[in-house]
Amino acid sequence: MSEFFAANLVWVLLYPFWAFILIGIGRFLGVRMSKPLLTGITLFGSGLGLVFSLGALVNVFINGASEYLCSFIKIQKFLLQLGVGVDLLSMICLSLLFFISFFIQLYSSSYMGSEPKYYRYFGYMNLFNFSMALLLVSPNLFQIYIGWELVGVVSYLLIGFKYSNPIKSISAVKAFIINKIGDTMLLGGVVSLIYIMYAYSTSQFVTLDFSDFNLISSVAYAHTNNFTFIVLCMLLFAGVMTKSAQFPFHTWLQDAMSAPTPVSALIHSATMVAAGVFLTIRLLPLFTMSKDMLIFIVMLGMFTALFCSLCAICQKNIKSVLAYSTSANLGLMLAAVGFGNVNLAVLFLIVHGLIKAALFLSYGLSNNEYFKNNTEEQTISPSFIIGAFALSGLAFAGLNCKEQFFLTFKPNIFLTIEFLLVSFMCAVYIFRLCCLYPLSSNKRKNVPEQLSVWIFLTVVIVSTFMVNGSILGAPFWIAFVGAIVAIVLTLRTKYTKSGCVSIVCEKGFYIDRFYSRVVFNLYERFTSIFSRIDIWISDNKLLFYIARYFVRCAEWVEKNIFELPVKLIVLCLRFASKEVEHAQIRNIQTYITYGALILGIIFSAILLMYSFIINSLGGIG
Amino acid sequence: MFLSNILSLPILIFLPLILGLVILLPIFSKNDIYIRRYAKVCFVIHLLYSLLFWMFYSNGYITLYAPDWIKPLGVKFGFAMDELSLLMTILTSLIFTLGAIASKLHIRYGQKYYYALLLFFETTILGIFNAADIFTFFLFWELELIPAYFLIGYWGEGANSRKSAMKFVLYTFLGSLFMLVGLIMLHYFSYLAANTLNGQISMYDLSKVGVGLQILISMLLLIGFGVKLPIVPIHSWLPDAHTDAATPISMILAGVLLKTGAYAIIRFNFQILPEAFQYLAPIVAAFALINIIYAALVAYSQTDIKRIVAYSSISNMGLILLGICAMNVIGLTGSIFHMIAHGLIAAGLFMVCGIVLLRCKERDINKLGGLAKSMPRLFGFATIIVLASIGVPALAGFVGEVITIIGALASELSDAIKFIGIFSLPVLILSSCYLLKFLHKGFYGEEESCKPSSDIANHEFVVLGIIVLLLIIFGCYPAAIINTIQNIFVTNGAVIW
Repeated sequence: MSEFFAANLVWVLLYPFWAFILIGIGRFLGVRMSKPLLTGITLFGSGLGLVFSLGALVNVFINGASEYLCSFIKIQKFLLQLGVGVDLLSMICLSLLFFISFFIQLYSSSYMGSEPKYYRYFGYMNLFNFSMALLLVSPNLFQIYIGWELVGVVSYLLIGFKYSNPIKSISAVKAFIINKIGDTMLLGGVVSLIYIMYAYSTSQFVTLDFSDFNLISSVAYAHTNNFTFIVLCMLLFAGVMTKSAQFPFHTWLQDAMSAPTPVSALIHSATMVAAGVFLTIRLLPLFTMSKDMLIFIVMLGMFTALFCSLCAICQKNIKSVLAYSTSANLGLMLAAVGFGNVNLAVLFLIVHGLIKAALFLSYGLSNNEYFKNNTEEQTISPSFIIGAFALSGLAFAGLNCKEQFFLTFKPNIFLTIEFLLVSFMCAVYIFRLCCLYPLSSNKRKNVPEQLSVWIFLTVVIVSTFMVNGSILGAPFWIAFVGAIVAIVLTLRTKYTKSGCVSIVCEKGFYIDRFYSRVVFNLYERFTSIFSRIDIWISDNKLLFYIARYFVRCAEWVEKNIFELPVKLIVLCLRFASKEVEHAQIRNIQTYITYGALILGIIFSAILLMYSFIINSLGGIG
Repeated sequence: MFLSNILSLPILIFLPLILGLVILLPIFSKNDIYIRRYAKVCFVIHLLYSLLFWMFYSNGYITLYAPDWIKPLGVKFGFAMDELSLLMTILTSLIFTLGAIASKLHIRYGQKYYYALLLFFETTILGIFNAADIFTFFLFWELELIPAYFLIGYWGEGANSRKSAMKFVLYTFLGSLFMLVGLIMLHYFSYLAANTLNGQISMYDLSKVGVGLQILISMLLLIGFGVKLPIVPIHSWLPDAHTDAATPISMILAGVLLKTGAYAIIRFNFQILPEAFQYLAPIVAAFALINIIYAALVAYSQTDIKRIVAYSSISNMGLILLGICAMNVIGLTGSIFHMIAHGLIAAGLFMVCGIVLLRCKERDINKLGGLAKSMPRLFGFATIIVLASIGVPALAGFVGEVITIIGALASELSDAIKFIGIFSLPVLILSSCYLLKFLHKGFYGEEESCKPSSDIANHEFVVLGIIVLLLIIFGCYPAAIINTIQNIFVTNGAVIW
């Protein structure tokens, strides 16, 4: 029974793609689809995906992992494959994806109800489901790149969803270009790895299949020197850094908050950004080869966690706080992977995804952009507070995870302190929000929205009891202190919404401004230099001067050398004319001219008809 | 098979010319609407006919027509077709068909001569792609200048289109002087070495000729082909010609004409003179890298929308050149694939520019804006084509770019080409910078000065629809083309490749 799910998963995964194409073609041809139909098509895809991925997950437990492959590009020995790899990690992530996306689509059907471009939104949702699934079920590194790039494109399209808003469209371009830098580095890593396999190993490794990845890693390590290997790893990891919004590429996640709130919940907190962690887990055999690389991953993750938590404390906007918090938590996950605790990373990936989705959605409950005129006034709904408890690690599944992090990092005192600091700040920024903004009085009828939020929260709450070993350890107490501090400070001092510590933190240490002002301006200057060079090449008269020089030379030769015989003849004739005084010299000149002309014509005719004459004579040979 | 018997190369090549001559007959009046319809039907018939070649093509050369031309020199008026010619022929007839459909609103006067010249233009380009003999090749290479000059110069949209047409002709002509010397040397020395007079491209055997001489010939030819490709220091005809020509002509120039340069490099430098090209390849690859990066940087600071697209063409042609320089099967496959993909992408981008120009009468990107609101369909098409151009997977551009770069990495010639392969990757970032700027400034934002009255018309919808559909099909199922490309290496023998 469960094999059926694993074997037919591929058709289920292709369904969103066809749905997207159908919606797209329908719109281009001007077919009007009703909103319930669009919602139905999309929800059906996600629901089916959820059922099949859970079935396949069961199959992994019963029958083990399996693969379904087909060739994509085949050029002699060189082969790139696409397919569906069913194993534990991919099926867990896939189930999470479909679970979250099902309820977020349900939420969107109510939230985006008054959106005129409803069809476009749901088309993109389908495309996102497809490309994210492509990434997650990928049996090889090449397919991961394909999904990787596609989710980036969907993210770009959804950030710029309201294209008439100039600020949002600039955010979309910024986010896309930062993502593209990472994607290109990842592609560089992937093609280098393909090349190394192509040059030094048997053909089956060229596809970079994950089931052979231990061997692939050792081949790559054996045939590169230390420096090249680090460069290769860094290229691959740069993709992770951009997609998971790690320092210094975390700025795009702030821009991404221009997207509609359900999109922020789905793409920019729960699923797409977690792809970086997923890829790191997949590439762990390669990274393990070099100890420096693992240290770098841990350090980077922890630094991002610290940095982004600090930025989050001072944000004005609830969505910005949540975005920084996402970067910080992804940093924690990466650190866990780098530390070798993959199980914890996956657990936290799931838990964090659910909590963040719930937080964003409950923010959307009370701050719907379609029903509010003033976006400056933000309110908090009750479900947000429950989510805050889970995120800070005071209760529910968040508590379990934080506890496990503490146990993992315990051997290293430096990391332990850093982690406790991060959880302290996490409690501070999330409870600061809860105190800062008033509770909303929701009068709108939005049953699907409420349902989705509470489903996520229920899962978070229920899963607390499924993970054993939750003790009230150091992370709990530190979070507790953090929460108290935040509440006391906020209520007592009533500090303004424009940040407490300093303006520098609020602006994210001006990194974004650095990119958008300095780097952008430098790039513009740089290109304008090249543009000037191009105009110079285009207007270049050098060729013209050379040509004119040649013409002058030819003129000189013509005058002084070729006319020499003519001049001589003239001289001779003059001499002769003096000798023969009454001869009709003028007539002789005329005759000579005519004669030369006729001879010239005959000669050129012969030259022109050369081939014809020779052919008619039967050829040379 | 009955159908396979009607496939004839002379008909394939001269059909457009003959059909074009019919337009000049007095049965059509000067600005007749029937001329356009007739020409459209001609192009579609020709497209279907060339598709028949694809269907009934069996492996090996089709060399059917080779009467003597200049017998003492061993020159024949010969045509041959292998898979490479076949793919290029289909691309040509497709892009010309799309161009003819797109001409509806862009060509306001002199339709009679326009469509006749367009059909003549197709014949000359098909002649280049299918020539079996070097002198036949040269004939068509030069002949193509005549219709191109008039089409760019007399129906141009830009202010100084005649000047640009002249520039194009002069550049190409200067290049072909070098090329002619190269071709004559090639012919003469192969005669000296092998003592047989034969102008057929597939028959040249220069293994006995010294390598130094081969390199000289190869360089002379490269100058000629490099003008068409174009390689960077001699590229400046391209932005002018593409910008000033009418939109359908820009589509054809970028989609087909540039590919003749790449095709010729594959045919001559690669196939006839592989030994010399081995020495030249790293240098040419360096030029290709300059092409790729330089043009992408210049494109960013352009303000004219058509110029942005023109420079993106130069950048992409550099990538194609890089694939050829890799001198292995992967690189060559990638570059041939990218020739087709880029032909479609460039045609599509110029079409988008043309539609914007027609509606807004404005080509400065800073003065455009907010077009997405009034032209949502065009916005959708433009987005897909731009994404294809910056190498998003599941669209054709990605496959070409990735295979080409992997081919450059797998090159066994020298390490330089491998590094160039890696260093050409940032072009993906640079191209997304300038193309997203194009999309962002043109389509996003509040509606500004330009308020187009209508979204795209039906015939424009057909053109863009076909392009986008093909981009998606080739992107999702690249094997459709790659399998045909693979046969090239079988046809032309394993030794050369």
